[in-house]
Amino acid sequence: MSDRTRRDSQSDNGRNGVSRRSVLAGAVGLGGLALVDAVSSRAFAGAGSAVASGSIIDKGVLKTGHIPARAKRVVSIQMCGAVSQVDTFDYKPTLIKRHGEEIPPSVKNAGGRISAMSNGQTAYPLVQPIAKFRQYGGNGKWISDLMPYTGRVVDDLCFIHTMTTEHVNHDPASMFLHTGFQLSGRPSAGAWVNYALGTDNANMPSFIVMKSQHQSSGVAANGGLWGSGFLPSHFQGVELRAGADPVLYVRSPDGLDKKDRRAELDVITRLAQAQYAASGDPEILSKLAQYEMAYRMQDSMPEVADLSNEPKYIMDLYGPEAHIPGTFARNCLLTRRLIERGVKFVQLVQLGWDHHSKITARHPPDCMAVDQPSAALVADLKQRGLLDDTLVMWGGEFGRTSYAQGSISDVEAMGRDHHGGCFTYWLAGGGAKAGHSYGETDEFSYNIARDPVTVHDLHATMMHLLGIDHERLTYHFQGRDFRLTDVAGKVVKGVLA
Amino acid sequence: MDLIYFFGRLHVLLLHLPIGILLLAVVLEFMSRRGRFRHLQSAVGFVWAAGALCAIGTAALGYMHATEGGFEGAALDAHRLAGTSLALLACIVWLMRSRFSPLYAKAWPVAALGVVLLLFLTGHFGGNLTHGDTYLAQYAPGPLRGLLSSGRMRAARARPADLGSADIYLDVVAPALNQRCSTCHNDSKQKGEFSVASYASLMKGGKQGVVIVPGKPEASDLIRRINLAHDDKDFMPRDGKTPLTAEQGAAIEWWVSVGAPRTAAIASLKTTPEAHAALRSVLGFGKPHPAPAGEQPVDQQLADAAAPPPDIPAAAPEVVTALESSGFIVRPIAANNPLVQVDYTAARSVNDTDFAQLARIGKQIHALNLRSAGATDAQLDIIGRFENLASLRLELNPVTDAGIAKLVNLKQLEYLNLYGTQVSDKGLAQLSRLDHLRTLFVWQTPATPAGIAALKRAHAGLSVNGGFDPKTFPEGPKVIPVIN
Repeated sequence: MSDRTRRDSQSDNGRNGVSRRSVLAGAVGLGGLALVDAVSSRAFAGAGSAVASGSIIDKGVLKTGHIPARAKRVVSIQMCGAVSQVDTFDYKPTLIKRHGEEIPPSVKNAGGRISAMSNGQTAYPLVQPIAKFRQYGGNGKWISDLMPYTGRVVDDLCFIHTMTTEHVNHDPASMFLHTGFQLSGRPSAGAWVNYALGTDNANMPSFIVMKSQHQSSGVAANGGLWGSGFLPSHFQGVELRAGADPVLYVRSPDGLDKKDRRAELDVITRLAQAQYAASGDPEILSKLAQYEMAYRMQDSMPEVADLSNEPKYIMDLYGPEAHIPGTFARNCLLTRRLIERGVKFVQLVQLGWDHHSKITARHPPDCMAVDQPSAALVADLKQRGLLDDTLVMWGGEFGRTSYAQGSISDVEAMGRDHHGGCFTYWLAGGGAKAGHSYGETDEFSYNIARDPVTVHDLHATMMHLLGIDHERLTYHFQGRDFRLTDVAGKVVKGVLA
Repeated sequence: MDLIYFFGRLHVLLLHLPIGILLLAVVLEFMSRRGRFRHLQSAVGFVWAAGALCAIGTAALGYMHATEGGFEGAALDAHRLAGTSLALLACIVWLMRSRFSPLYAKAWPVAALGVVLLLFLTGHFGGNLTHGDTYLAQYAPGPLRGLLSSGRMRAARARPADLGSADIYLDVVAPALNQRCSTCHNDSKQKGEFSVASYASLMKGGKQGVVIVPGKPEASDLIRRINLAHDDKDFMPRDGKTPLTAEQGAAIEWWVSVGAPRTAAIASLKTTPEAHAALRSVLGFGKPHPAPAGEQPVDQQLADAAAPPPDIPAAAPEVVTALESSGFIVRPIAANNPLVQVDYTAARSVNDTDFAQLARIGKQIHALNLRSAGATDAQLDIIGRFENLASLRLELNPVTDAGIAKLVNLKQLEYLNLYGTQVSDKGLAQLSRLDHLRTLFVWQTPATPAGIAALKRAHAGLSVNGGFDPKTFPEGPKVIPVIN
């Protein structure tokens, strides 16, 4: 019988192993088999010239979209903790007029379940936006004074005001936002894109994640959010860290130079190929792919992270925090550099935002931390001609209530609770309609008046802009064909340019 | 007045009676003179009487119906004349039978023939009033056509061979309007004094004015009416008649938007993807390339909106392999599409061997990314011949105006990225010759704002990005601007 290998990869999820039958039946997909060919037939010519031989270019299982793509790359920015739409982009004068009044029961009852953190309250007074709004751009879009830099680039943005989700807590909602399902175990959007379209740069991972360190308390974002689920594990997101080592375990230990590392890798590859021939475990190939990628990243990653040739005025464009590693501003700047080098999917995660209390004190610094860098990213990509085919997506896992959590009489202590009924996302570039707002919430920003967009719809639209029919990109697992949009999702034509 | 209209409409119901009864009377006249049916003779008089009374009633209702309007003169007159004559003749026969039997016994064939003839004429003109005079002839076999439609029917147009050569009015708009609108809006019966039978009458309009404003579908009443909710009182066609399909409506709306030409080949007009899909559907061309079996795209509309792939051979696989082993990435731009997108990601500069290989798939290259690839002006000469190139990224390459000049023959180019190159105002001026160019990036080049402005003036559809000026960022909040 075959010798089964124990796999310790993240995507194991309790499975004992994959059968040879499933591998030979093609369940792994062309990516795995192509890797066998590539690994066994590549012509590595000695020290570090792997770059020249492009035979390990993985173009993904689809190679290209079903229809011509508008976007080739995606930047997905998650405000993890749930940014309050009322205090940023969803302007509701009614809340100003009726500040302090109880939210009408008809409105509250239509909005679905209320989270356990506020459903014990006796009163639900409306709270006006914590900063004034003013108009920006050719269409006079109303933006809060807490986001003035975003206001400056508003002519390139497409707002979706009617995002909606059924989940009212962070973990399921974030998991849903990233993977299309509330329980962990499914591939994230970036993994799907990686699996489908592969890479545009053989020397860099195709899916990179950057989580910024932020002082404000917030929920944690765990690795399952950018995991590969049941897809082979080399499709997971590679996390770039602040600090000397952008990627863990890439740097060779002291005393081991590149030539030795190359020789070491060649031996490992031959051994692993023998193992693969015996057991057919696709995770062996995944591991090999990771080793090769790590080897290439030894050259490419330091070059990306080295900002010494970045002019000061460009760094200032992203704000003062761009000089500090690990901040959101720095990560936006790195994102632009990654996009220039053809990375297909960059996921940024910014913590904070979860202000159940003290929102007037805590929300503005959160906004300041992201406002200028996000706007700068859009403007910088645009002036380099990259915004046309890079889709930027920005938003949280749900919104926040327009009523107060806590007592409204204590202005400093009160906050806003979770609200899945409606929240705001913005898209830029990559085929999204510039200078446009899609969907309308009611005057309390509590329910949707028209054109709801679910997370599945958002994913379907993203896939469509990448040229992929979201219903045709599937992976057979546990007896059925899974896809990012699960069994739902319709492309939102109203946001397409 | 409404009461008269109400009774007038009953004319359409009642008219079936005199037709049936008078025909029966004529048949009985002939049959009852033969041996076997002699017993019917006693009934014939009664039948004539009934027929005459019904004919009178129908004629009376007919006069009331005519007051409603909407029927054009000549056909109406003919129908009225024939119908009234028929009623009169029926009465005369009835009278003659009862009072002037000897005379009748000799004259009866003439009378019978006259009744049949008048029945035919009345009925035919009446049918034309309702359905238009090409109604019977539309599907009739060849020889009968001229006979049935008083010779006015032209031979049907041959089906166009392809989308481009089809005529927008004659092959798309006119048949759609004739199919759904001509029952009430033809030259004989002109509801609202409007007929769709000819281009002239279509553009002339009717009682409420013109219904088509060339170039302005939003101001055209015809477009407004066909797009209303089906139960709206102004919706056309009325009275539950089958409406135009969505594709027919879209095709007509597009025809108005391009100026409602009397005749024009579709290839000569500017189509949008939606119009293109609608025209294909109306003309029955279906999808341009059949999808592989079992792989129909689920969202057909979105799939159809993509432009059909050009009819060129796919890129030679050995060239693709050669390019990929040199550091390029070559992918088709979509499944089943011969066009490719090419990205260069290796660290070394591109050389002439690479360009020789690129030239071999030059016709298939739709998008080319040479960012920071070390391309030179001489090599742009080769790029300048890629006839299907729509997107070209040349940023951060040492190219100058001399190289840019070689790109002016790229008729399909829509996106050009020159940031970080040496292009100057002189090179920019050349780019005004690229008609399809939509976006241009010239940040960090010697080009000046004046040169950019001149190019924008020369090329109205082009958006030029010269870089983002950080000074245009608004002042960020220094103090937290919170309100209570």
